[in-house]
Amino acid sequence: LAEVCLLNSRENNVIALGAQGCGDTGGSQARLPLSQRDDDELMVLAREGVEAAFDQLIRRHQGRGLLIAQKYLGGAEGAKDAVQNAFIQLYRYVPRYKPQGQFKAYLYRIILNQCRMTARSGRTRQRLTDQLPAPVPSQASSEEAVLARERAKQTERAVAQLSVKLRAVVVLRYSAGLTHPEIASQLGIPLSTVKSRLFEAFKQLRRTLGGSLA
Amino acid sequence: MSMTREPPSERLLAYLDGQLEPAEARAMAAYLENSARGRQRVEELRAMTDTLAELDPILADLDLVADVRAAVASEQVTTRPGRWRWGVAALAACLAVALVAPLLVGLQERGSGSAVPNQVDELGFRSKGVADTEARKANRWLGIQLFRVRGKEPPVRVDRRLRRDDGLLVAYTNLGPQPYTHLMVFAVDATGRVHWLYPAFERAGDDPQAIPIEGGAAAVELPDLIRHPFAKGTLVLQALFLRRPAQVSQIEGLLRDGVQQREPGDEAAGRLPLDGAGQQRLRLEVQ
Repeated sequence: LAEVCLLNSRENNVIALGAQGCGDTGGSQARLPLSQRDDDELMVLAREGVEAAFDQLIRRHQGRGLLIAQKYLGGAEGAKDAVQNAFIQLYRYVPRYKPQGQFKAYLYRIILNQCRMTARSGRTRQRLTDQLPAPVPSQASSEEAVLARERAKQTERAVAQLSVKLRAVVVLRYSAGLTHPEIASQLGIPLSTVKSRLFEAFKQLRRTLGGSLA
Repeated sequence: MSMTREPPSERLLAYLDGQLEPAEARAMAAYLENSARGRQRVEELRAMTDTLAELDPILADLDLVADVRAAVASEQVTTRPGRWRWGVAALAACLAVALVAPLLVGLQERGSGSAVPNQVDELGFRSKGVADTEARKANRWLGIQLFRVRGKEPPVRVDRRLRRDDGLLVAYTNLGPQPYTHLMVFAVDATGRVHWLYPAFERAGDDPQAIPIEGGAAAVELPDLIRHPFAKGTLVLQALFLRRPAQVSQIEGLLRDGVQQREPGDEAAGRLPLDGAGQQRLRLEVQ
């Protein structure tokens, strides 16, 4: 990755960019690799034409994005398309992005929108199976591991059967790792609604999955 | 506080989520220490939430950088301000909104005494006597802008005519002293069928609600490229700017009940009786 220097921190809310090397930037200014930049800084660098900054953002967030999409869509199928489209969408937004510390919320909103579109279009299933590498079998598939995988699949399918609004809350909480207030802000709903939707979602999951929770 | 009976799963979930008040959390911890069944239930819940945080191995090794790069290269998208295709369209939309602001769309706010009656649709609905200055005074910079995407061509502002295979992009402007908080966009085609653009309507059993929107923002692009199998003929597209979210079922109920109110001489479907909503109607021809 290119070593691009970000000069000064945020004086006057302006981030100054330096060329590679940054030899004449003065002793007090930080020299940080892209991997240590925060998301807002990377978006600003991408806007300035540093393509590696956007690549860094993809690599930083693709895992979480794929997780969100997988759980929202009820499986791996479609997740790659949805997240890839989300990053393309994000790329288009780069020129207008305002660095306000809200990058994750911004990205997750795009990913959820793309998931909705993916689910709506119903065009993903065949394509993705063509593109994805075949899973590599683990060295020893113990019975416990097999059961755990089956349980995970069942949970995934049960989540996918939730309504859109319940699913979004569950996925944002447990797959995206957002807090309740962050989810409320993300979805534009009251905090109490986040909680009630989570409870409702788990009630339905319990009904679907059974077990001693039911 | 102590627990004398088995807590409901919702409380256990709240405990796992760190959402209980300290006193209740302490009582729950004490209860779990003494209850094997309680611990089992917690473990089951934890397994469920852990599952939601596990990425399928089939996705774990994917690196999307090359694919995203290839896709944006094929679209000739750039991150540089001013050269971005949808961005150019948005800028054009912004300018267009500025130019036609005094004429902005069939916007009608019901339930407020200051409503401006029957302004003009941005795609040419007939004016019914609203002076430019009057609309300016209303400070109602509000509306959606509609763009079509045909093949690999850049987005183009919709000008009355659509092809059935056109993709649609929507941008919105939500300025004014009291911006709206939610948006719904739907279209009624020549056969009377209702097609939802926002919110997405994925399954027959769903009842999605209006999407949240930014206030004080102009030409905000919504991310979806939408295609619907509209019937050929007249298509009335309607945008509802709301101050609280409505459900799709609520709007479809109003449409089904035919409670839209027509003004004399109004060519399009009328307004819906939604208090405080800004409403915009665009009439298009699908070819």
